[in-house]
Amino acid sequence: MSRDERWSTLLARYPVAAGLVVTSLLVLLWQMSWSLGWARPQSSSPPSGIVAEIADLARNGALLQQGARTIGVTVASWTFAVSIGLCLGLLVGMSRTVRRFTFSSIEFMRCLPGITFVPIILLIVGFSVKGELILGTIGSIWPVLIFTIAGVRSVPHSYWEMARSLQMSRRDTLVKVVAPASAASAFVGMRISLGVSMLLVIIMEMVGTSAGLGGGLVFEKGAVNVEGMFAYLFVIGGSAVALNMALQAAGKHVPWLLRG
Amino acid sequence: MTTVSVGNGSASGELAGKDGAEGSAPGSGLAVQAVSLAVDLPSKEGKRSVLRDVTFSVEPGEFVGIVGPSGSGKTTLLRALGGLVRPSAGKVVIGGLEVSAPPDGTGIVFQNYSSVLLPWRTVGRNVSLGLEGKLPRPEIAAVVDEVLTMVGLLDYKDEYPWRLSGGMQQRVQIARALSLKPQLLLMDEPFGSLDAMTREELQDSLQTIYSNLGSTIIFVTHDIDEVVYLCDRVLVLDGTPASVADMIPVPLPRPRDQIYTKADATYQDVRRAVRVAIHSGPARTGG
Repeated sequence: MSRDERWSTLLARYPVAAGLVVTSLLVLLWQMSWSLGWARPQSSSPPSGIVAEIADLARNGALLQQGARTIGVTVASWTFAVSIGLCLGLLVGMSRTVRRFTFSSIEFMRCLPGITFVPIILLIVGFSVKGELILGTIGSIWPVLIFTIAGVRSVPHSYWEMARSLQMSRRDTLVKVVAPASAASAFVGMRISLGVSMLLVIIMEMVGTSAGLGGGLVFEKGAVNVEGMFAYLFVIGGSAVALNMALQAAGKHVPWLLRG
Repeated sequence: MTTVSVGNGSASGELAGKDGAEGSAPGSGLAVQAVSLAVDLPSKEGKRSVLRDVTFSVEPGEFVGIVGPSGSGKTTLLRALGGLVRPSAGKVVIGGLEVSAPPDGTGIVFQNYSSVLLPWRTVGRNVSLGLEGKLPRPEIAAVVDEVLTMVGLLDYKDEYPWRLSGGMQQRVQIARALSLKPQLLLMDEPFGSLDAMTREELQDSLQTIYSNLGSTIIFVTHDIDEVVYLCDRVLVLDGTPASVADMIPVPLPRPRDQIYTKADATYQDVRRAVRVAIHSGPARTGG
């Protein structure tokens, strides 16, 4: 085996490790820049300082509490959005009449940036967990809805005919053929929705409730604690990655997502 | 003891009562009639007339083949018989009832097996699809085992269909159609995309199934050898729009044999007659 081959085998076996190579190099460069005095931008902080800050925040329990809150609200609003989006998506996808009447509303809503609801929600429910849930839900319905509709509409014609020829009931056709056949597409929408949901919850935390990781980030900004701000930035990033990985891992156990 | 009633609307009486794996007695098939059948299909230039004034009848338990040049409307005719396409004129009568949706007691086998087997369901659960909710679970399990045995795939019950070869996947689809205990089996070029060896193997399996089941079979193919080898009568479609150009009987005894039957002089005569009928039809435009 040549050296090149050995490298590519290694990279294929540990794709995550391979992907981290560039990141690690950048962090290393960043740290060296500070330690060796190449450049020390004023509103910045070395990785070692950020890590220490994260450890500090974790030790006094703030981080865990804030993280749990943000992730909890995100997952809750995403769950609402997915429940609504999947049901509505199947309905709209299966019925041409419903599609015809809802098409323009859905088009409008999905193009509308979710953040524009912030003032309206503030006015109606005030800044509260309820407001975060509402915004997180409204904003993240659309990806899962759109992808579910697309999934249903791309169910092969042959599946419908097969179901008819087996005299399957409408309900059975939906549950046993159409829903599973659209699952892969709907799942893509679910993943996008999760990101949107987190984004909106953190925005609400930042501009309104001052709680959770978003609230923590804004607090550190107020205290002009650069290391603290970066600490929150990386914790939020890490949480997003963890949520996405958890969802992907869960998807591996769904036989509907199986493709030959 | 298990009279499997997967919907039964035939005027000709109850579905085949079956005892064990032997299937029902021959002669329990459904009669099929097409009366002045016409089908228009949508196309870019509005409606296109595919079938015009197609009239024929198939006796219960008969094995009838439909052949014709490609694009002659064979598949459309089969789909109309199976209630998947609405006729624009005339009617299809199966078991004494006019067809408007897939008729009771009818199994349809599609050409493209890979696009009608659900990849997330195992072989066994693909086969049970048409029975779920209509029979109690233990009975479904028994029927699945029975039909998988008939097509020789019992050992693959828990395998996923996409792990099987094309021929095996088509057997799965046939098993699924058989699970409905059909009195009429509509088959649309079922062996069209299989290699020659597998095709002969499946033709012989189908023969055995036919002789055990006694149901009516209507079989679309573009393969003249296949249609003569398998069928009692051959319906030749021709023209644009297509209509029945000829109906040729195949007076060959059963069971038939890939080597000896095909060497038979009668076989050769019928084969020639079908070949001539396909090419002597009215001049066709387009393919």
